[in-house]
Amino acid sequence: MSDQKRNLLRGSNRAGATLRMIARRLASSVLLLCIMSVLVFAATQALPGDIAQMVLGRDSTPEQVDRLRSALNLDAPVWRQYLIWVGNLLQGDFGVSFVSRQPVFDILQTRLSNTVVVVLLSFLISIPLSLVLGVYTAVNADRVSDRVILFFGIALNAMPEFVLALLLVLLLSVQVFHIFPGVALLSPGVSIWMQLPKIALPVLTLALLQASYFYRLVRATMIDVLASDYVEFARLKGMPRRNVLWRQAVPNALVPAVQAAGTIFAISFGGVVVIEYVFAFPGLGTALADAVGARDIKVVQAITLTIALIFFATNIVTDLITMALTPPGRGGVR
Amino acid sequence: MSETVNLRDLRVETRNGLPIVEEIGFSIAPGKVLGLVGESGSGKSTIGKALLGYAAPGLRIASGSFNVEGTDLLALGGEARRRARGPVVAYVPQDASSALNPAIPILRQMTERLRTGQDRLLASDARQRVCETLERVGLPTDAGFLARYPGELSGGQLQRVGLTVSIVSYPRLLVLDEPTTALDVSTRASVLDLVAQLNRDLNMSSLYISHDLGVISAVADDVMVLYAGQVVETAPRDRFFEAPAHPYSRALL
Amino acid sequence: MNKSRHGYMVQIASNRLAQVGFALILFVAAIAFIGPLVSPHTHSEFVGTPYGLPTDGAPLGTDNLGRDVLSRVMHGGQDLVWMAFCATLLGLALGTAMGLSAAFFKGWTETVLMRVVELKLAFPSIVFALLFVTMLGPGKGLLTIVVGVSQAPSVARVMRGVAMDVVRQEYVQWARSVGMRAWRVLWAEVLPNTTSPLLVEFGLRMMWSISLLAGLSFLGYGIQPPAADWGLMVNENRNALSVQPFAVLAPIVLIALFSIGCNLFAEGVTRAIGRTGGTE
Repeated sequence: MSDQKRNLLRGSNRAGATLRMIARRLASSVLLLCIMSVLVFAATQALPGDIAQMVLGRDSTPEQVDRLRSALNLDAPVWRQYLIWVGNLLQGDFGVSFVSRQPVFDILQTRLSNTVVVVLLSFLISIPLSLVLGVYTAVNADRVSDRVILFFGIALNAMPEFVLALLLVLLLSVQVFHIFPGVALLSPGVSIWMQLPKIALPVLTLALLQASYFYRLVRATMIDVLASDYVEFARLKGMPRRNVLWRQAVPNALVPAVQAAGTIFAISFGGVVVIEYVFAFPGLGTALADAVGARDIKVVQAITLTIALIFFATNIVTDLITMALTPPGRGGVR
Repeated sequence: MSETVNLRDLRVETRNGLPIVEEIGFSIAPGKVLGLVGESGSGKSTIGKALLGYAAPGLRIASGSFNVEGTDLLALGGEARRRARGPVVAYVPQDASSALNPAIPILRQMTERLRTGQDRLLASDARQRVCETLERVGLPTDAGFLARYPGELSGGQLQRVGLTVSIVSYPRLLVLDEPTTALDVSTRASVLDLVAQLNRDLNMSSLYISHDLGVISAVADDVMVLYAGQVVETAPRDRFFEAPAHPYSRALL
Repeated sequence: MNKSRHGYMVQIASNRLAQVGFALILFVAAIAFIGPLVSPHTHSEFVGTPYGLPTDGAPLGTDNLGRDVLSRVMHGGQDLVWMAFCATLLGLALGTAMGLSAAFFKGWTETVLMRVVELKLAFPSIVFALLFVTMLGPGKGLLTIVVGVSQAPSVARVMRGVAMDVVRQEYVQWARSVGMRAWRVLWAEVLPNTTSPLLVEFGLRMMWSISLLAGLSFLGYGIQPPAADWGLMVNENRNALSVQPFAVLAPIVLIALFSIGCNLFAEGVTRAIGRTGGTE
């Protein structure tokens, strides 16, 4: 076989392997999503007792209860209820909120996009910050600056989100400085991008939490890489210091960093719940918090599944990026 | 411009002052190979790396003078030392599969030293030099091969790439740190032949480090025995293998 | 085997980070459990006007209803710390059982267990907890169980990794080959080598548990008013942050100290035993 043909064959084999990996990931995610939907359904609609009564409370009229029962198909056997529910979901029908009578889908749209803006903006701050801090402290490991930054990282990482959020409010809004507003009530109808100062504190809180976790990971990875044989060999070769750091070491820290970034992105959608609540920010988190109190099942179901979907999507994207970044031969594909 | 390289009184110690190796000295004439023998942990690699002015983290080069082409390498400052690595002294690693950067294609790893510094080569010239050396060591020079990553090469190929990285700067002294230990017997034999041949053709001096006496007898002109951080015997190869002077040398054979 | 475990314990006990962390944990736990016994007022007594600044009678001022902040702070940790502790124990027990079983029995057991782990890990714990609280209400028992269960998958992953190393060792293969019953082998050989990683996980799970529980109380879905609870207090008093910050600061500081203590402890133990964990 000619060299050209051999190369082509090699290329198509690799492409095939990549596609198979992605397909496997997708299948596994779909399966997990299904199981998750069962869990969500069971926790909210498949409980013993009168669901309609639980939702509407004691002061409800029999008509209201009946209306809700038929809306939720509560008279049908459980498995049938589940299938109807899933069928609706797949058609994009997330039901109607019991509280506001609005379609859940519409409510979700604005809330989701608001939350995504906050998460993305915080990422924009935390990723560069973590990279710089992580590389710097790895190069200067165990010196005083490293230990000080490490202590702050551990402290920030440990705090519950609302603790950090309120400390920042105390520091930057209410007591010491008065730079940012302590509340992030967005004016409806005005684009969120026009109201950036209002969301500065929630974004900052989330960014600090993300950075405290991410920079430590970058630091640990860089320390390992800097102690590796190939970095030593690059030095023995006579490569200059800056080259050794940025062109020999850092590229090998990318894959673990990308995976950690993906995890942090996904986790942020949980951390954002409490943070949004602190700042009364109209996002996915506050929608969930309010819905739980009002037993607005449809909203709770929709938000929970949306977050799960985001998780799985993030995992797949992270896998794809990791695959693209992994050099061939070490389990990577061209 | 080929002179003998001269090491005198090298001492490498830990941060606390404990000696790893001491009173190390030797001379190697151009075209000759000095074999450095010792068990694992005797300090062989430390000496090898010290010849490049490098001490692993936690160690430091306490004293010594190393004269190559009229300059004492160990008296130079950090940046000057770095510049000497490659064109003056070069290091061939023991395990190329871990010494080569998994994230960089092999061509760049072979040309990057040539493309660094004030007298750096153009990309095309560097590539040409690399290809000449690759032919010498018996590796392909087509674009497809050069674009590969270390993970895509076999052990024997990697070792040859490691060799190429060092030779391509045409150093005066080549330090080979057990370059055949990780190889199978047949590959080992061919690499050893290659080393001997290169040494003669390029008129380099070579320090060949190994714990394997069989390998040393095949490739070295002189033999130096290291025990517990000190030189216990130095002798020409034939005399060493016939009548070793030191009891430890005798025990090795 | 036992000798090295002894050595590890000494190493851990002498690590400064672990010591500081443990001290912080004990300090806050002391306030939480001894507080109710020595507080100047009960948690529901009215001692002054709402949001009053610190005075002799109320060293930390009064809260949103005029109750003594200091007394409420001293009452506010008991449930929180105790529930976090129980949830952590539950999570450790469940997670260890899952992880060890997966490593030991392999095959289908491992596949199923690890899929369950992946399922939960794909989910923020707070959303998980809120899901159950929606219909079942914020009962203390439910919350403890839900928080504990939500921590189990992380523990399971770690313990499986540790156990896989041990299971590969020859003496375990030998024990199985001569017919020792699986549980005996797990108990006698595998478990003792997991003490150190368990300590690390204890610290981390405590940190997450108290974060989660305090957060839930903060949202109003944890411990209910008029009980005193640190998370609840933070929410009740945050409107007056500019006027009377101590009502918010005091519980926040205590929660933060406890969480930081857990994290320092876990970090200290990790460093003391080295990165490979508790097995030889």
